[in-house]
Amino acid sequence: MSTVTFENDTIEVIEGDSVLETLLDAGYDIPYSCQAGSCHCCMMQATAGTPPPDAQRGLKETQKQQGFFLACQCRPEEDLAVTLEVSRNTQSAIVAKKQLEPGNVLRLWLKCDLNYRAGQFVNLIRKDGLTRSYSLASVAEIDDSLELHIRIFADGQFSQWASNSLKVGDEIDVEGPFGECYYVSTNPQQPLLLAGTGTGLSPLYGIIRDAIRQQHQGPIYLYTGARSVQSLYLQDELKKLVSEHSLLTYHPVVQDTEGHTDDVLLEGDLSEVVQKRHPDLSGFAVYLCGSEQRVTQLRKQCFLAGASMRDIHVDLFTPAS
Amino acid sequence: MFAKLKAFFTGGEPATESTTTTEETKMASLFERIGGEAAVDAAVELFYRKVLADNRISHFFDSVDMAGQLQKQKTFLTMVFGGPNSYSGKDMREAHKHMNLTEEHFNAVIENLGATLQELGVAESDIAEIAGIGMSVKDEVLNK
Repeated sequence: MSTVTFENDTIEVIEGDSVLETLLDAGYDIPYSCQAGSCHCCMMQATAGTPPPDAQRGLKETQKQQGFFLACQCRPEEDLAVTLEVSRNTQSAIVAKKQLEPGNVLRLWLKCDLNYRAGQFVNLIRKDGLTRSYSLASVAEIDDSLELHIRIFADGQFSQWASNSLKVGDEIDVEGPFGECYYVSTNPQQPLLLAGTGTGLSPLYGIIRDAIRQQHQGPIYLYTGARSVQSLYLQDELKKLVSEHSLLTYHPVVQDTEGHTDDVLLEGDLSEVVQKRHPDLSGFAVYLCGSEQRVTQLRKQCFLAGASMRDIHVDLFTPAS
Repeated sequence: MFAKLKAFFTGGEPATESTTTTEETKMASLFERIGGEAAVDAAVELFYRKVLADNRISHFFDSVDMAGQLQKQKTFLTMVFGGPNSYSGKDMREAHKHMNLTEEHFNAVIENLGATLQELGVAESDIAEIAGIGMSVKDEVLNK
């Protein structure tokens, strides 16, 4: 007989019962609705043990990899430890390098022994507890430190501090990693579309390099939106990446090119440009990162253009309150 | 295409058993006949795209949480396909009662459902049966 461990309580699972039934019978308040595996209300994460395949049917590949499963469909074949909360893990990091980029973006490198997937995000925690989330631009298998892109706001409590006071050699706490926006290698031929605004480029830069590292074979299209040519950043790195990899196409999109010409620079609205150049996205994997409004709008647009919801990965940036 | 469907959905024509129905297919449930969970998977995105593109009802479906919305559509389709679900009429009433839904909204959903199933090549007799299940929760959905 297998057991389920939840909140330090180990419960024996009656033969044929689901994890949901087991936990409800034990008196725990677990959210659920359809009990048929379709509403996903009872999604939990296994922190030890492997949920049976039936309990992961219909989930995204990224969720499966992280041990998410549907409690109502989970009749465990081995002992499981499960949680409703995302598992949290905090460790100390050392600032290795800082570099200011155009568009008021700070590139920050941290020495930290973190196990993560490129495109996930972490929380940076200052000694006094002030916390902000940033996406990872680095690839664990390639880079020896974490790389984060921090947009410096004039009134940004954290970003001003990171830009002015945080020094190379300083310590900072890193919590995570979090998020499901990363490259999935199940179909290397699949065309990839990546679009982001501002520092939404950060996770996309990591995801692209991770895809290339994992020998992705389909075409990769990257679009970044910015207000002006002056606020485009990471351009040299991207140009180098494009020159090294024929699969990759990159177009920065700005509202007004102000007379600048470039063989890849496009003028207009990011969403409109994507729609015009990719009217049919069936079979694509799509990665969207940046402001909530833009990502939400692009996600709908890409879904209506034929991309399957399962293949649309998003990282929504929300401003600190 | 819609005239024919409308007859099904408004109950103008009762769903008649096809004369070619064999004993085996009669035995199989509607859900099994149309392909079970795989049929729901095939239909759900098609259906969601249609309702998002339908100005009569798109605002009810246009949510920040698209993945959550998709799961709701999946639950709905599983129910009308006669699949396993544990929804009661009371749940349907509770879920929809604050939405001020009208007959037009309800019919729009049923129309999009019919168009989805036709596109997938589902037999008309099965479409009629599915529409019948959809129609059966009309009063609950419209909170009548």
